[in-house]
Amino acid sequence: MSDNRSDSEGGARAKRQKTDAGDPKNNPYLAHMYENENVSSDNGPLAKFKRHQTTSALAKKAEDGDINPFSGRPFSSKYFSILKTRRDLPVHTQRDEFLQLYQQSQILVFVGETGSGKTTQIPQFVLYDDLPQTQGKMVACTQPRRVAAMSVAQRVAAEMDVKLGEEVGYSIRFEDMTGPKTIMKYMTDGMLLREAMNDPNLTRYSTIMLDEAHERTMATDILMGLLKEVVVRRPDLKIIIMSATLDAQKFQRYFMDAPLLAVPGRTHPVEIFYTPEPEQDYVEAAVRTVLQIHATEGEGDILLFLTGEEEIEDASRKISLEGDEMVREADAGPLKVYPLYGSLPPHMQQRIFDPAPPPRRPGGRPGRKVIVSTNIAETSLTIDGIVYVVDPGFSKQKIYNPRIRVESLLVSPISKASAQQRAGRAGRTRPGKCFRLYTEGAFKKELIESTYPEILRSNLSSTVLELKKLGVDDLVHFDLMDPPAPETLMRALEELNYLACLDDDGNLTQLGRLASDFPLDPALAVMLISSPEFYCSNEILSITALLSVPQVFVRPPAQRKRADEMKNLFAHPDGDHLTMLNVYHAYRGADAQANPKQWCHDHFLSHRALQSADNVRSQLLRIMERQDLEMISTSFEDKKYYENIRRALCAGFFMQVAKKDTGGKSQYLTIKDNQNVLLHPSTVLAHEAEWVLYNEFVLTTKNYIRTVTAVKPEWLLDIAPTYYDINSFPKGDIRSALTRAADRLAHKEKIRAEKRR
Amino acid sequence: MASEDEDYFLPLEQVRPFSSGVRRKRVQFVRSSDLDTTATPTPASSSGTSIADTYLSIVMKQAPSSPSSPSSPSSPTQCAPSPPIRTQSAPPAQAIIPPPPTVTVPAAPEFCDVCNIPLPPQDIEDATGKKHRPHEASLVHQICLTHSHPPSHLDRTRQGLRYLSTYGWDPDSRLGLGAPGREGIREPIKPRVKLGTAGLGTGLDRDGDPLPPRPAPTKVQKLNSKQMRIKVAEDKKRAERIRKAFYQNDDVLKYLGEGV
Repeated sequence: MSDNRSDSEGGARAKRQKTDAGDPKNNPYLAHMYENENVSSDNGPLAKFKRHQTTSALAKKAEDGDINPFSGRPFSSKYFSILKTRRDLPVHTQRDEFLQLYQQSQILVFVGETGSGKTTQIPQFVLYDDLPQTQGKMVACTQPRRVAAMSVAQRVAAEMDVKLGEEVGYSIRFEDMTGPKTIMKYMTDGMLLREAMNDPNLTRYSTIMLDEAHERTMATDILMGLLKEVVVRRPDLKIIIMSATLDAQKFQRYFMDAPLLAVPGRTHPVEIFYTPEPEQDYVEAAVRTVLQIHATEGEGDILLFLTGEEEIEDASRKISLEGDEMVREADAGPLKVYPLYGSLPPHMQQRIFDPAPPPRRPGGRPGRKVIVSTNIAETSLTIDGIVYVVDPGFSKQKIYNPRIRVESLLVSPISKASAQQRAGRAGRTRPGKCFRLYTEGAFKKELIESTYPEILRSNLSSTVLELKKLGVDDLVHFDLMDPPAPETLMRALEELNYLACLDDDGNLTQLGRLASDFPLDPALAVMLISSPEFYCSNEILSITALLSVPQVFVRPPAQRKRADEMKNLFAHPDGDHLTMLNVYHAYRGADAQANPKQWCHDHFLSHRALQSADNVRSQLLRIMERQDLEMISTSFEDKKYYENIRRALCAGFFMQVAKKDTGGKSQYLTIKDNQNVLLHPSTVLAHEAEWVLYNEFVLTTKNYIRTVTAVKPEWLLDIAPTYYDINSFPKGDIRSALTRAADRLAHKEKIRAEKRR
Repeated sequence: MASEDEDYFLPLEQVRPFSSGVRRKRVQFVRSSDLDTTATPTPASSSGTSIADTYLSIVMKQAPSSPSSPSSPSSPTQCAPSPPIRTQSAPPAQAIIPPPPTVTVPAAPEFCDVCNIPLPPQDIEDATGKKHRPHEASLVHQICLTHSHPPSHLDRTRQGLRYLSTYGWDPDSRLGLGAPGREGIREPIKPRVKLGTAGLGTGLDRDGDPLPPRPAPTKVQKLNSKQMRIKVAEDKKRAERIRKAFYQNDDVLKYLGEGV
């Protein structure tokens, strides 16, 4: 497992190194590893290459040759045409400089603005110098997003003229596209972290690149902390931190003053405009600004940043309508509006790359496209042709409050760094303009310097579990770039303790070790692992998969009523989890499988979500089989079929329970955190259950709990006795209800005991 | 003893619950030569630190605090204003040396090691005959002292806190987690719910400074006929007053004979 090369020697080496704490060079069993360090293994195009001593001239010669040095096959003609464009990229001029710094130091910080070609080119520069194939190792390049890992791997495979999945591959959660020949692996940062759990020294890799480090995702932050420790144990491992922004000094300082190489991006100046007064309504102001640009500014596409799906659809519609009117009344050029947000189906997302519409008649006013997007267009997607950016200064950001244990997406002001990044999007093809819908004073005083890294805004329970599995016990002094607040960490430790993943002294339990193997939230993992005890592991597995993918129910604004009717076909009176299970069972049925796409369309279900749920399910099934977890179901005829599932849900989600408030109508109160909540209007729960378990807490104008299922307090007392320790509850409604439930439980137990006699 | 010459200023702990005893001359006692016989602390030790030491010696039965209790004969110097607190923790040998040395060298001004200002010479007290405030009580000294913060609000029984404490995190240290010297945030980031579509910086002026709160729009009040009549009368009176204030001329009034 730890080495995917086929030769047994390589495998043995990897294993050996794991147990050997000292310098591997002193280890006689590893002598072979170093004797040929500077000798190329074959007589191919790389014959003259000495590891970590190559130059760009040498690499150029190999690249211009006839034989692909990595696959051994002749280069195709397409390869040479791509090679020409590659040599035009800004990073190419600094290849020698890069190689020198790379060879000299173990850690390198690389700054390249978007468009410099760093993500595709630097890994290839490294391949020609690091020659991982001679070491039986690989080069890894992490990406914060799955889509990026996939598309970049595809691009690089084409550039290197190899088949995707062979020499160049990718690995993302629930999908591994690598083979035994892979030497260049693009992966999500989360995947590398998972690999580190089983291979703490990351022995499979000779070079690790952390790309888009400026985005400061949770996994990248943790990886940086780990790599700081790994480089001490593995002097042969090289690290490159790649960032697109100017806070590179922060990375340098963090990595013991590592050398820095900066490559200018290919950007044009962007003129920035502010409003003289604050805007009363930023959506309306944004729409007006877009139309104003269309009426008065020269050719060039517009990118408008808004916060969420609803807002984007609404603004797109308004711009479209007004634009049509401008065409009719004022002979303006045609205007095409494309919304863009994460939950949009891929083919709709693809449309943003369509060229702007042509003028209506030859010589008429040029057409223009407008992209109305969330902040995914800020960093992850690059759209050429954008000349104007409209920035209202808001985005939706995840934030976690450990005091009430609620993670929510809130519309918040962006940071200065984010605003700069947005403005930069206007200067990709030619000088552009950025219109900020706030005053310069607000920019200076209201906006924070840079966006808070994810680690400060998230629930840390799965991170703490990962760290414990990685062997990091001293969470207090673990060297993170931005350590989280103590309270957030305490909450995570307590949650894991209640889930029995950590014992009272904070040591990883057997259950915790099992749970960390699943790429899931600890609550979901624990629910899945304990499901065989409730005779419903098949069903819980399906529910877990469904909870891990985007919403399966589709509700188009125009057909809400019809969509709700269809949803009611699957409804289970006891809750949404069971309803989702019904959907999945129906989807797997023969009727649906005959033509699943049509079936989903007819039933207002997302085919994409169900497909990926299917995929996730089979991936999780493999892990369960590996861990010898039994796959069983209660017979459907048994009247306990659904009850067992509901009990199993409690095993994972007993900390997300609300009880009906005695006062208000359909008001609920969350257990222990005492938050007033309402059932989300989308629920199918038929009766007003006294106790409900929820999957999600949605913080908006009102507090909603979404995806709820009715449960019984007896089950909670039975399954999580420490969390539901009656003495720990203050006197009140919840405590007395629990006491009554405990009495009932005791009574039942007594009767059962008497019967047995 | 310490308060032989001044019967008026009794340390607070020696004040009897009834007032008559305060002004009366105290009955003097001498210490027993046998130190071990007295279990209870003598009320003579007027210095706060010596009392604290006594309590500490009761609570923590450790060697370092014990020598300070027999050193209470040196309390006269401690009561005097000049020596900084630090010198009190000098080795017990000092207890044998009589206090005069500090009094005899007034030429070299001593500096307080906390606030770095010269200490007032001790004999001023005797010259004016008035009790001097101890230097430690002065505002400058108090400000220069390292500030002690209220303890953290965290519930000490929490399991998560216990875990962090075992790895050396102190909730009252006012430091975040992380490698020493690079500690992180202390409090979680506060979520702020933004409702509606008000633009960024509404409520701020052009420079980004908060605007003064806008006065709440006055509510339209409906009056009945009686209230209306009163209001009209009031308005009339006010109008008259204002007219007078603007147009009244003293000379004219004098002429008319009203202003007298």
